[in-house]
Formats: sequence, structure tokens, C-alpha cells
Amino acid sequence: MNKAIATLAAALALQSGIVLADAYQVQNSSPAGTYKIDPTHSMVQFWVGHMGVSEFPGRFDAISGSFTVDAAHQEADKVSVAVPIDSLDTNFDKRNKDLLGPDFFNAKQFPTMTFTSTGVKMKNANEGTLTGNLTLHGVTRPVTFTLRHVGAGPDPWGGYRSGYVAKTTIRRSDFGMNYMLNGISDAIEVQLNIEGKRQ
Amino acid sequence: MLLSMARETILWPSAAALAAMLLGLFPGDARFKPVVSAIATGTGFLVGYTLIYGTFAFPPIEPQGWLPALLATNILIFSFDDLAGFSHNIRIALQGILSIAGSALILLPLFKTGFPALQLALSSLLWFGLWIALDGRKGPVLLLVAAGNAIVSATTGSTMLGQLGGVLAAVLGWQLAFNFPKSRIPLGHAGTAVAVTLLASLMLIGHAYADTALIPSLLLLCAIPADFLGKHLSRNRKSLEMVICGALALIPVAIASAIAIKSYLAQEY
Repeated sequence: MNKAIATLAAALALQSGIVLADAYQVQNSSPAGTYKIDPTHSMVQFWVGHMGVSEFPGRFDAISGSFTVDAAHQEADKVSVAVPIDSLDTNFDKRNKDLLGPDFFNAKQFPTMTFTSTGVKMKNANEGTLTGNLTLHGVTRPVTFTLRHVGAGPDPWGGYRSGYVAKTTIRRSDFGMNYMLNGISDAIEVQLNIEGKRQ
Repeated sequence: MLLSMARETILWPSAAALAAMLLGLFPGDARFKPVVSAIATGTGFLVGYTLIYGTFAFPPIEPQGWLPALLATNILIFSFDDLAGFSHNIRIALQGILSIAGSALILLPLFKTGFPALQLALSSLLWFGLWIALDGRKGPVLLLVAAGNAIVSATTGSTMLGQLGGVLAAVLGWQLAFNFPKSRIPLGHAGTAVAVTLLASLMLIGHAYADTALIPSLLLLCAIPADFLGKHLSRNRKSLEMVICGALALIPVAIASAIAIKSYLAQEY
């Protein structure tokens, strides 16, 4: 009888949203330090206009690099990211092949996209801008991202982590990707989600 | 969007080639007619290239960026051949050198990750073989291979390369129309040099950078021996030769195109 009551109580607790573990919350510890990007919790996503009727997403699954944050010496902050182009995924093999070929990314000739920061300006603890040089399709151009620091703090395995979301819009024609501009938008929204593990 | 692609691939290149070829109909020295033909082929292709790819950086950023330079080089060298007449050996030597140089330029970006010796040797050899086989050859075989390559490229490799292949086929279509049944503005050495260089370049770019399907492409090349078989079977009966050669060359081109289209439809957008 007691067992049945306990089971019933547990079921009711779950049903009503009562959770015994701590709720998810953002960690607000200091982000200072040098971090290696964790590729399993980081990703580059993009959205491109399709025939003037939709905004279609794609992503690059592989990413590597590092970032250094020092709130006291912002001029020392730096970010370096490398993305293998063939990690592209748009959820359809034929389209992936088209995008990786000479029509767009030409991955055989330009296998990697890189970003190297030239400056970070935080207007408060969590928001700022990230400026740097983006090399894509063999062309290097300055790009500015809006930057949001998500959180920083210890992980359950004894490490320390910090994460950011960076957003910008680039024009593919600036990088020599001019094919089919009448059907696939020139402007591409790019979002970089990175999580780093402090070294 | 399809209409826009058709305009870029067929309408404007055809109009440019046609306008240039009409100039060749004016009375004048017959030696200039093949040069006009080469210029018309080149102009038509350049119009399509500009509308479709539209990048003219020098040195080119990508392999397809070499196409205008290769085209201009071939017009310059082989127009002189059409006007003055190279000896057979000099012509063969130039065709060999330009086949190797063209292959090397297109494969150049891959040299960074290692020397693609086998790919370079095979592509140079096929390019040269294609050129030797088609130089001076009348009839639809060049047009059929170019049209087949456009279909195979667009369906199994790259839409852009398929479009550029379509431009070449459209321009060669006008070339054939102008010279049928009576030869008015023959393709000549310069025109063949331009057409073969563009065809071989597009095929090589497709295989090296866009993973265009190999079997249909090899089948396309079978149109060349089929054309020769047709020439043999027609036994110099000129009236029959074009029909027999065209019909035989069409067989491997049709099979290659069907294989490519079937593979495309299997993963339709």
C-alpha cells in the first residue's frame, strides 16, 4: 500500500512539473581565460533566401579554434575559428553536393573557412561586437559580428566553460560567389554558436 | 528562374554568335571565314560566361576563370593557322602543348595538396585526343558531345558547368545550322580549337571539382569513334555521311544523357 502511494506521489510530482533536480540556469562566472572550442557544442549556421519565398537554413558541423577573453584588457581578446567546408549540411545530399561544388563554395579548391579577430568591443558584460577577417572561397574580407556572451562557469567534469553567440550578415558576392544571384539571395545571415573549454 | 537560365544559356549567347556569324556572310577573302566562325563561337560563349559566371579576375580565382584566357589564346594562335597555314607537325605540337597547359591550369589549385600526376597525364591525353579527332571534322559530333556534356554536368555535377556547357552547345548549334547543307562559314582550325578547349575544360573542371559522373562522361567520348564508324560506313557519300554519323554519334550521347537524368531524378529537388 505504501509503495503504491509513493509511486502515485512520484507520478503526480512529475505530471505537475515538480522536478527534484536543480532547474537550468545560466552561469554568470567570469569568462576570463583562454578557451579551446568544443566542436561538439559549437556550430556555424546560416540562412539564405530561396527564390524570394523563404529563408532556408544550413550548417557547418565541424569547427575548431580558440578564444581568449580578458575583461581587464579587452585589446588582448582574440578569436580564431576554422571551419572545414565539407562539413556543410543542408539536410539534402544533392543540395549539399551543389553547394560544395564550383557553383558556390568550391570545397576542393577552398577546403576551409577561417575567421581571425582583429578586435572585440564589449558595451556591457554580455553584449558587444566582434570584428575580424573572414576568409571564404579564397577571399578575405573584414566582418563585424554582434556578440552575446551566454555564460561561463564550471562543468561537471572539473573543467570550466564559456560560450558565445555571434551573428552577422555577409554578401556572398563579396566573396566571389556570384552564381544564381537571382534565385538564391546575396545576403546570408550567419550565426556562430561557440562553447569553449578553458585551457 | 528557368526562363532566366534559358536566356543566359541559349538566347543571348545565340544572338551574339549569330550576329558575329552574319558578318561572315559579307563577301570577302574566304580565308577569313573560319576566323569569323571562331570569333563568333568565342563571342557567343563569352556572353553566356559573363551572364552565368561573370568573374574576370586575372589571374583567375577559380579554374573556370581561365576559360576566357584559354579561348582568346586559341583564337589568336589558330586564326593565324587558318590564315597562313601551319605545317601539320607544328599544328600537332601546338595542340599538344595547349592540351597540357590547359589541363595544368585547370588542375593548378589541386597542386597545393599534392601533384595530381595521373589526373594531369590522363586529362592532357584525352584533351589532345579529342582535339586531334575533331580538328577538320564536319558534322554534328562536336555539337552532340557538347550537348551531352551539358546534360551530364547539370544533372550529376554542377548546374553552373551544365549551363556553360549549354552555352557551348547553343553556339555550336548555330555553327552547324549555318553550314548545313552548304558550308558557308566553316569552323576551321581556330573554331575547332575554341570549341574543343571549352569542351575539354568544362569536362575536366566537372570531374576535378564537381564530381561529375564518370561513366556517362566516358560514354559521351564514345561518340567520337561512333562518328568515325559512320564516316567509314557512308563510304564518302557526302549526302549520307552527316545523317549516318549523326545517328551513330547520338547513340552513346543519348545513353549517357539518359543515365545522368535517371540518376538526377532519383534524388529530385
